[in-house]
This record gives sequence, C-alpha cells and structure tokens, in this order.
Amino acid sequence: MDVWLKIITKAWNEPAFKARLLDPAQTNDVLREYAIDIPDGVTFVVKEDEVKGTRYLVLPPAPSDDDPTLTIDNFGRDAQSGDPGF
Amino acid sequence: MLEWFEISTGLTLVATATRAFLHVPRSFGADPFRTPMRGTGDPATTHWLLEGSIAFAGRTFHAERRAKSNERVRVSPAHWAYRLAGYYHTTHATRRLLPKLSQRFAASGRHGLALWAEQKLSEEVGHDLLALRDLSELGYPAQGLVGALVPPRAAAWVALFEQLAQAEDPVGCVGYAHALERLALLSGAAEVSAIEQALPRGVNATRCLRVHSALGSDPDHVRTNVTTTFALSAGERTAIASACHQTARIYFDPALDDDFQARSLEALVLEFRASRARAPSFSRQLEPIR
Repeated sequence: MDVWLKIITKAWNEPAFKARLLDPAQTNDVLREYAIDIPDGVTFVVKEDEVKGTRYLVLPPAPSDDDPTLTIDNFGRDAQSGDPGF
Repeated sequence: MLEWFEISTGLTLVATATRAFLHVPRSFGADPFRTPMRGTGDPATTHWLLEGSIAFAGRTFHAERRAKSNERVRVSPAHWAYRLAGYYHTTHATRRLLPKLSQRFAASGRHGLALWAEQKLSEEVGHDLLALRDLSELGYPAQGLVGALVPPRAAAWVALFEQLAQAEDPVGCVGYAHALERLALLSGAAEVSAIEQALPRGVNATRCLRVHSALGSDPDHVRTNVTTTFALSAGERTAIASACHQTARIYFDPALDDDFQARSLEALVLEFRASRARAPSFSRQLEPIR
C-alpha cells in the first residue's frame, strides 16, 4: 500500500508520469518500475476519479466455481481425529 | 451481507449467506476485504464465517492427515481410557473457567455474553464426571489416571482455552466453545457403536462420547453459539472466528495425534488398571504424560 501512495503522490506532482500511468499501454511498465509483481496475464488499468463527475468503484472477482466450498464435512473425522468435548 | 476476516497472512475468509470462500486481497488499489470486517452480523453469514473458519483448518492439514490415516488405528479398551482422559481434561476446564468468564463478562456490562456463559455452565455441568464414570466402568482408578495422563491434543485445547479466558477481551472463548461443539457433531451413532464394539461386552463407557456427539445436545448448543455471535460487533465476531479457527487447528493438526500404539502407551495405561487395588497413590509418582 505504501508504494501505491508513492505512485499517487508522484502522479499528482508530475504530469508526464501521470500520463504514462493512465495510459493502458504503459501502466504495467510503470508499476514494475516500483517493483510491483505483476502476475502473468494481468493488465492493470488506472482510472482517475473526479471530484465532481465520474468516480470508479472496483468490483472484486466473484469466487470461482472450481474453488471448493469450505465445508467441515469435507475435512471431518479420521481414525486419529481428536475428541472435542467442551 | 458479507462477513470476513484475515484467516492467515494475506488470505481472507469471506462468508456469504450460503457459503464460505477464500479471497486473496490485492496488495494495492481498492479491495474492501483488506480492511477489518465492519457492519452487523447475520445468522446465515455468521454461520458460514464460523463453518469456514473450522473447514479451513481442516483444509490446511488435509494432505498430512490423509497420508497418516492410511495407518488403520484400532481402538482398544486401554486406548479408549486414554481418550477419556482427554475428554476429562477439556470438560473439566469448561467447568473451571466458565464461572470466571461469566463474571468477567458481567463485570464489563456484557450481559448477553454473561448469560451465554451461565447457560453453557448449566448445560455442561457434570460432563467431566461422565468421563470419570466411564473410566471407572472400564476398571480404572479414574482420578489417578487423569491426574497422570494428559493427551497432547487435550493439553493444547486447555492451554488455548486458558489463554483466551485470560485475554484482555475473553470473547474468543465463544469461538473455542463453538469449534469444539461443532466438531463434536462429526461423531454420531456409528462412532459410538465402533467404540462400544471395542469394549468388553456389558461395559457402558460411552456416556461422555454420547453427550459430546450428534446424539447429545451439541446441535442445539451450536445454534445458540451462532445466535449469540451474530448479534455482536464486527470486532467481536472477528475475534470469535479467529479463536474458532485456532481451536479447529488443534483438532486437525496431526502433530497432536496421540499415536497411542506408536508411543507404547497401552502398557502404561494397563498398569494403572492393575494398580487400582494395590497402590492408590500411584499417580502421584508420575509426571503428567503428554
């Protein structure tokens, strides 16, 4: 998070840097300059919020269907399990 | 409605009304799950928050447990006596610590939690004595045996319970209770029957197990825990879910298996049985075995 604050500060103060950051073709390169690890196949897009006008909300990815639901019965008892007695 | 907490470093458990899932919050930019949970609870999402907390512990140790469970463990009467010693220690800690918990909650004006602790105490009273009765039924000097034998998993649970009860805010004890009572529901008629078949005919030494299984009253207790938890603040629910997870880790961690056969505990336990008549102070000669 600290590195993102550094990027914000620089973008506020240096128009040329801000232009590169907001350019979808250059965003990943800018972030890499700050040692941000970018997974394969991921493209970052930076949008600028406006005081009055357009503001952006980020919708996190929904849980994947192949992510096994965390249910206790999947990981229940075996021959050496404990004896839970409250 | 969503509930969440950081269940391990860089990993957040998120609960919806129908499931729990794991989410990796992004290291920069906006991610609502990177901040501590806020907002009110809900019976369905709180249920899944606690279910997920327990299940993630199971998932953490799943591969190790699967590899180990290939070794078939046959329960002998002596092994069951050893396991009953574990039941004694955890249930006795409940009787010992709940009154203090109730007092602490009441003293800080948290009357709902004080009531929860009082209700638990009335429900659990005498359960440590059930373990002692079962041990006597098996022919053991019950007090002597539990004084000398503390199975590692029971020792870890009691230590955690004491730590939670002594914490600045003891609300995590609700999570501890919930995990034990929820995990107890994994044992049912089949488990009781398997133990009965391993014991001499006519010996009734499964009272403690029955009470702490799906055949006892733990299904109601689990519902009460969720009802109590969802009404609490986000910070309190987070502490409860975290304690629930810690408690479940102890249940699943293979390093805490008693390894009864491998550690040659059978002879030691049987010696206690033989000592019943001849040496009442036998247990005092030994350090507790963990």
